[in-house]
Amino acid sequence: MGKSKIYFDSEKCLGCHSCEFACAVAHSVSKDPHKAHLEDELPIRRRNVELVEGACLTVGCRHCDPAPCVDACMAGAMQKNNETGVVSCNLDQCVACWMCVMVCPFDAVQPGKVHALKCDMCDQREGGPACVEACITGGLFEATPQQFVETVQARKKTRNPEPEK
Amino acid sequence: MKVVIIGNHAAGISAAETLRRGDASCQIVMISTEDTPPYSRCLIPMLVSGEKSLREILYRPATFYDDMNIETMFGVEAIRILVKEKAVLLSDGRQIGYDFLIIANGGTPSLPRIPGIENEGVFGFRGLDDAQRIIEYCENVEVVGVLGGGLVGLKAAVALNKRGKKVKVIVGSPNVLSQIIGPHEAGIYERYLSELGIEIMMRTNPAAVLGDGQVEGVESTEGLKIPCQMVVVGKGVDANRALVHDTGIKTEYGVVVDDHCRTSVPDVYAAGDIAQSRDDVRARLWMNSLWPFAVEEGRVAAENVLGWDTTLRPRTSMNSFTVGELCLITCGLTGAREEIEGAEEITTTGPGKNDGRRFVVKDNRLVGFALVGDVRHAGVLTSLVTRGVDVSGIKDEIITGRYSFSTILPLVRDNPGKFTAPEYHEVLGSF
Amino acid sequence: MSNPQERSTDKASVEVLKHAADQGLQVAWDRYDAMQPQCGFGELGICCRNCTMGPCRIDPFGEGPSEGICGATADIIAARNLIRMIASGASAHSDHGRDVAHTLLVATGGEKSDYQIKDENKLRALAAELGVKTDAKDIPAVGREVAEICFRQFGQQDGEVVFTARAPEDQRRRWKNARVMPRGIDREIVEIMHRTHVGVDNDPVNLILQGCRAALADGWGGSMIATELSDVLFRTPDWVVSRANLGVLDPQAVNIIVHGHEPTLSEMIVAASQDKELLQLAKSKGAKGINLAGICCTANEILMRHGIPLAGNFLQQELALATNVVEAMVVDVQCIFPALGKLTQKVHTKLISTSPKAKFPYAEHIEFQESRAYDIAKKIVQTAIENFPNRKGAPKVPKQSSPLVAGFTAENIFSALGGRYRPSYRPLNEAIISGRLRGVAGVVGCNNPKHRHDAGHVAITKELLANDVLVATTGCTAIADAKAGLLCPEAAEEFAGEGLREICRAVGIPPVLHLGSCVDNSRILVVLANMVAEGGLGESIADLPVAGSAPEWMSEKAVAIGFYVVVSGVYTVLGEPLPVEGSSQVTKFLTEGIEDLFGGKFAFEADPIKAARLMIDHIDAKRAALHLPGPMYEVPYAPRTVEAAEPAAAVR
Repeated sequence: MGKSKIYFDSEKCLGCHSCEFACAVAHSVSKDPHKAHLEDELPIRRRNVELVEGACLTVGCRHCDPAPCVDACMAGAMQKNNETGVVSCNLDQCVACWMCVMVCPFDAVQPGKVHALKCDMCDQREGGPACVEACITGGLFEATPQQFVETVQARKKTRNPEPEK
Repeated sequence: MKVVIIGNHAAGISAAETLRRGDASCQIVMISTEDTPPYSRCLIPMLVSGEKSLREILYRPATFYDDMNIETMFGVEAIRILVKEKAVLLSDGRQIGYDFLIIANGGTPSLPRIPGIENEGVFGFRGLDDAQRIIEYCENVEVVGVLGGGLVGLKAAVALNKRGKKVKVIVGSPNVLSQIIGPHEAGIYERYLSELGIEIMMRTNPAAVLGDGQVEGVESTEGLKIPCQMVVVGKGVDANRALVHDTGIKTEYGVVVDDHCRTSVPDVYAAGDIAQSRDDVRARLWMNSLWPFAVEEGRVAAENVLGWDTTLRPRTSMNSFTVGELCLITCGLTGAREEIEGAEEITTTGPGKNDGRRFVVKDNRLVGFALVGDVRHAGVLTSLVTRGVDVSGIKDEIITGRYSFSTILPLVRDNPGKFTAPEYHEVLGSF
Repeated sequence: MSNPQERSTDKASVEVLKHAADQGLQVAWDRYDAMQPQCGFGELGICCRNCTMGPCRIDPFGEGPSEGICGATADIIAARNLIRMIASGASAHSDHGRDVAHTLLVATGGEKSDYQIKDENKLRALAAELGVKTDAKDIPAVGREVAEICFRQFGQQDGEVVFTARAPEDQRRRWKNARVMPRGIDREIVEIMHRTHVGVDNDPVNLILQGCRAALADGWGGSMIATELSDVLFRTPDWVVSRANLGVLDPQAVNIIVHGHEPTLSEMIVAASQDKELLQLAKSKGAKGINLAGICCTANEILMRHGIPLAGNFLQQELALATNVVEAMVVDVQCIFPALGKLTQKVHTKLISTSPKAKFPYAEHIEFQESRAYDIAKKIVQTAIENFPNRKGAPKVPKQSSPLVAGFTAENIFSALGGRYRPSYRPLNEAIISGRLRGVAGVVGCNNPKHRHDAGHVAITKELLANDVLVATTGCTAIADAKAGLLCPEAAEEFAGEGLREICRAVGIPPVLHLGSCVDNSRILVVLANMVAEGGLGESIADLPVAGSAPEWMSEKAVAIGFYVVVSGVYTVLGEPLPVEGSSQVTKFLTEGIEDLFGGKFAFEADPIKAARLMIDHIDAKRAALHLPGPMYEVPYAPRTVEAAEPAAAVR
């Protein structure tokens, strides 16, 4: 599969919350960091930075395949785009039943005021995911599953190099 | 190959879609009593309330069957499976042969066998047919009596209340939603519904429907006469098992299936409200009739037909119910209808006046929960219940409401056998 | 960390934390939990908001920017941020000193004043030191002249801040060589603000040296003026017995807590709380009397001079209100949570602010003026009394309160140690030379929810005591040690090594000496200077077998104190690192290079036992350099865990 997703690297995460901020701005009306916080309906971020056993990380929606939220959606609002792999919520269809909240294993769907809120990979945004753009340490990065596996293997190798023969 | 699917709702549509995506050329035949485009039965209340039109409750385009190249045989009933012949007998006498069969014909609302139930003006609350007849009939109706305080009953009550009807909900139990939540959480609902103007009559069982051909009221077992001009019944659904009688296909309350949605007969699968699958918390077969399960079962059945060896995710009973701003998510054994021996039940309230939580812990496992009001992070709890992991290390966090995914990430890491979806691996790969 | 047991080692605090949680009251630890995870850029000191080309962050992992937009590196950014902290801390201490000097002027101004000079001897000693002729003048005139000299230190542009003359010659030489001899108190702080402006000083070491200079202007300037003139106005403290912890609150009395820092206010509250008419009023409301207690440094000031009990330290300020028996919390400046105001919306306590410089949401502001000090103090006490009938909420006063001895100063330490017959520093120096005492340590500083409340203070102190190190303490550490029973002479029996125990038994002192408030850390500087002057322990403060520690600090004042102590030649171990670790150059300078200049340096060690060990090893090294014998009663090194060092919360 060549579809890319957003992965995190807890070793690079410094807990600055810039990704949360950028996500909220990207989902605001104005898309402007100076104005977003003044809007009547404050934009809600789709990503959270959290502390796990002393490490900072942010998991976010995994755009699963198969996606439990897509199975659960009784209004047909949650859909997976088979080309891009992105799972997103069609707000016109969403009836706020929260079946998706109930089944999401990664706590990536929030019950918003009117609709379900989740990561949409910023598929309407020029420049792609705002959170990846905002992270200056590489704590968040975009990759295909294959690339991700290779990155993890590579890091393991440098940590535990094969003994010299 | 030729695959016949009986039923064109959640399970059937899901199966058909999966088959077509996996195999562009296979023959898919869909049989159903309902000649309808893919509409969401769960959104029927919004049709009845007037909030949405039929077009607005479609969850796939009206052109779905053509787009997916499905041969449809609608408006006709499948009445018997001819297992040896590998064919389906229809009500009009035709026999449709299959290489693989997916039974997804759902269930029918069960009506209580009380005198007067055959009066005009008594309806179930399940499908489009029910909805359209209710909408037509309730033109001149002032008061509606709803039998049953479960999810269907309450959804019907709210929908008809929105439509401007005076609704009286007749509930046999001491509180509403008695199958899934306890009296404390139910109280929050009862107050909310009363504020909407819905009258709820607890500990009241219907003895008869009054009327001479047309509904005039309901009489309770105590002799109380409740006047109304329409009765809507939300007292459970019976799986449509008739078509598998004497076929050797194993049934109990529904058609019994394994993790692959296979029935006891080769090449025959079942999915949706007709199917009875394993409940991983109760550790036995159970009727878990829920939209997400129907969709998943349809998909898994189709995937297995295609030769992919996929299985159902761990599961137990669960539901999400929203009335206005009041949300309820339940999962597993909530201590509502069964006494769970040796279990600890912990309830908390707040911060809001309509917020409440209940957790049921047994042998260090979270075996059930109910969230009223604030339902955020419910999916994390659901994954703990369905996977049956030891939560003693995070019990404090759960009870104080601090259960986000980060809370369980160490548990996911430490129980790899229980969290097998590849997406868990990729999260752990980074962590 | 939200289990009350994990938040504090003090049993009284744990009890009230549970009570607060039951009442749905939010405390600092809740807000700390909600703030997690905290921003790593901030923690490492590598984010800069000094201009609006920014904000800029340096990526410590090397992938993102390594310079701010102006070109500042992590080293420059961390150094700039650090010395701005010194500027703030030094400003707080120095402004306090300025206010006390002003009060002395008011007291000697000729108009009738509620303030008088209460310690003529101290005034005469200061006058002599400052070259003020006293023969022809009356006391107020002498006082005025001394006050004016002190005032001048603030606006002085050149020369030396006068009390730097007290430092040993070696320190003064080092300061002159490094060009950090402070010229004027306000000037050094202003120069920090100038140098840290965009495009001024961009040499990390040069920046830090200015920070050192401002810190000296605080320690030997603003803070010292505060201490000395408070002694003149309110009396030099002497040994006093009292009690510490929330158990000092009395459900049957009108409870008033003073919180903040300036004795100009708290001294008046002490007087007003003894006013006969107000006591009558209190009784008429059904109270058995007026019970005054304190939190933070103002508590230490009135403890030292009047024996007023200590209700608690920094992190207990909300807990005191959660007991539901405090009628008023009277605050002035520094270390006061804005959260207190919101808390008083839920409990009956009134938050009364008094300083025009320090206003708080939901506080009742009764502005304190020196010209009407006593009347205003009475009004404040009356407001508290009138609140007595408004008690609501279940009262919860823990029974823990520990007895303590406090009131040690540079002047009376030597008489404590020498007895009435040999009042001098000789016995202290001899004790160290002989090895009966290994050395002296200062353990000072705040609380911080990043560290388990009081755990570090008590654990380090006990480990030092067990190794025959006499401990001097101030501020919130002193309060922590008091609660743990370490300020009693009897504590030597249980916690001190044999040598220290012998001394404590002989002269009747506790093994931990409470020297007062945070500005009274200046008393420690005077003690160190006196030890050098007494002789036998080297020629410099940097030669002394001493070490300093701030195990749980949080404030910018603590940064200023840390710097003036290090720059005066003392090795200082911090439980919370200075926020500079994103700069390897700055970190290295503070933990290594700075020692070459001043003889003192920092170490960052969060584990209290390890920190104590660092201090003990340092003290041993100084002994060896002085060719002193090893300690008389060598304690084999047996490191204990922090858990083993639980405070024995004395309940009497």
